[in-house]
Amino acid sequence: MNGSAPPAVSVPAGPRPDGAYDIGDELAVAALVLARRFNNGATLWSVAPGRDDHARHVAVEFVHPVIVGSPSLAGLAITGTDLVDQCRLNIRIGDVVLLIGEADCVPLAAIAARARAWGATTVWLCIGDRPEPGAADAVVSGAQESDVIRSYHLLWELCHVCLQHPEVLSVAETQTSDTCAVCSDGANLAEVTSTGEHPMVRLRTSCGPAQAFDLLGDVEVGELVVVHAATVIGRHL
Amino acid sequence: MTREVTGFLYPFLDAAVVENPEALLTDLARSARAKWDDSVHLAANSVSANATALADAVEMFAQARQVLVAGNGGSACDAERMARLWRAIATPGDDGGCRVRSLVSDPATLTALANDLGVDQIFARQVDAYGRPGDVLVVLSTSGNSSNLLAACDTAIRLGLRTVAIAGYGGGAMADDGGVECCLRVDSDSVHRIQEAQAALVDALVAAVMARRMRVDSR
Repeated sequence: MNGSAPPAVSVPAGPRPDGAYDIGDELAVAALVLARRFNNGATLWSVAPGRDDHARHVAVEFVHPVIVGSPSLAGLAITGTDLVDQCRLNIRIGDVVLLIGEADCVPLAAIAARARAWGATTVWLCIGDRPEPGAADAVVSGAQESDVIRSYHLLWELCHVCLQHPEVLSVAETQTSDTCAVCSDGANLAEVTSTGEHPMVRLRTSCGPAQAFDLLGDVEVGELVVVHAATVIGRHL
Repeated sequence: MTREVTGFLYPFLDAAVVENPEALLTDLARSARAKWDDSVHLAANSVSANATALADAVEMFAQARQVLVAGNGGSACDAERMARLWRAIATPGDDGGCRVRSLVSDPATLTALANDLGVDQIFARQVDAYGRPGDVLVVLSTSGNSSNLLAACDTAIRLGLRTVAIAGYGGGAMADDGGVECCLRVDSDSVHRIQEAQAALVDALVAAVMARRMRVDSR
C-alpha cells in the first residue's frame, strides 16, 4: 500500500496536573503540529460552519504574510453549504483541517471523524465546551466566539516560529504493516468509496485507496466504517 | 500604546537552535499565554476607553435605515462577522428596520471595480450605489490609513451618510479631523492585537444595539 501515516507528535497537550487546560500549552502544541505538516507540504483547510468569516480570516492570515519576509503558506477556506462533501473532495493525505466551532456542531464532528480516514490532521479551535477526548489531534480551548480570533492569530504566529526551527520539524516515520490503516491488527476508520464488487468494498483510508472484505454485508458508499485486518467489522457511529 | 518588536514576533527564539520540541514548546506556551493576556486586557480597555464613541455610534444606528460595513483582508472578514452578528440579533419584526450590508461579500463586484477603477474605488463606488443620506458606513482598519476605506468615507460624507471607523494605531488618519464622524480607536500597533480588540468593540456595538432595541420595545 502506498502513502504514509501522519508523523507522530511526541508532545501531546494534555491537561495540567490540576485538570485544567492551559491555553499556552494548547496553542504551542497545535502550532508545532501545524508547522510539521506545512514542512511536509500540507495545505491548511479552515472550516467554520455558519461562520464563514472566521474560515476566511484563517486563510488570509496564512496566505498573506503580515510580517514582511515571512513565507506565504497554503491556507484555504471551505465555506457555504455541504461542508463535509467539500472537505471530502479537497482534502488530501497529509493536509490539516482547522475546525472552528462548538463541540456539538454536527458537520464539524463529521469532518473531524472522517479526516482520520482521509489521512488529515485535525486542529479544533473550540467555542464553549471542549469536544470529547480524541475528537481532534489538537484542541485549543475558547470560551466565547470572539476568542477564536485570538486563537488563530496566535496559532499563525507560533507556527511561523516553529518553521524557523527545522530541527524540531522532522519526525522519523516508518510505514509498517503494524501501522497500515487497512491490514493492521488495529481498528481504523475508512470511508467507503465503492460497493460494486461485493463482498469486497473499496475504501479511502489514511494510507490511500484500499480494498477490504465487507463482513457487515450492506455498507454503503460514503459510510465511515471500522476496518480490522482488511475486513470491515463495524460502522462508525 | 502597546508596542511589539517587529523584527519578528518572538525575537527570543530568533536563530537559536532549540534542543528538543519540548524546550521550544515551553517557550512558545509562555509567550502565547502572555500575548493572550495582553490581548484580553487591550480588548477590555478598548471597550471602556471608547464608551462615548460607542454610545454615539449606537445612536447613529438607531436612526439609520441601512448600515454598510467594509474592511480589507482580515478586517474584511471582521466586517463580515459584524454583518453576521447584526443579522443574528434581528427579529421577525425587523424586516422594515435597519439592515446591514457587507461591501466585501461579492467577488464579482469587488473584482470588477478593482480591475476597472482601481483598488481605491472598490468601496467608494459601492457606497455611491447603495448609500442614502442617514445610512451609516462602518469601516474597519488596523492602520486607520487604508486608502480605499478613506475614499469610501469621503464619498459617504459627500452623500450625507454617517461614518464610523474602528481603527488601530490610535485611529490613524481616520481619527483626524474630517476623517470620519465617529472613530473607535485601538491604541496598539500590533496588527493581530488590534483586530482582536476590534472584535471586542464590534461585540460591544452589537450588544448595545440589541439593548437599545429592547429598551425601546419595552416602552
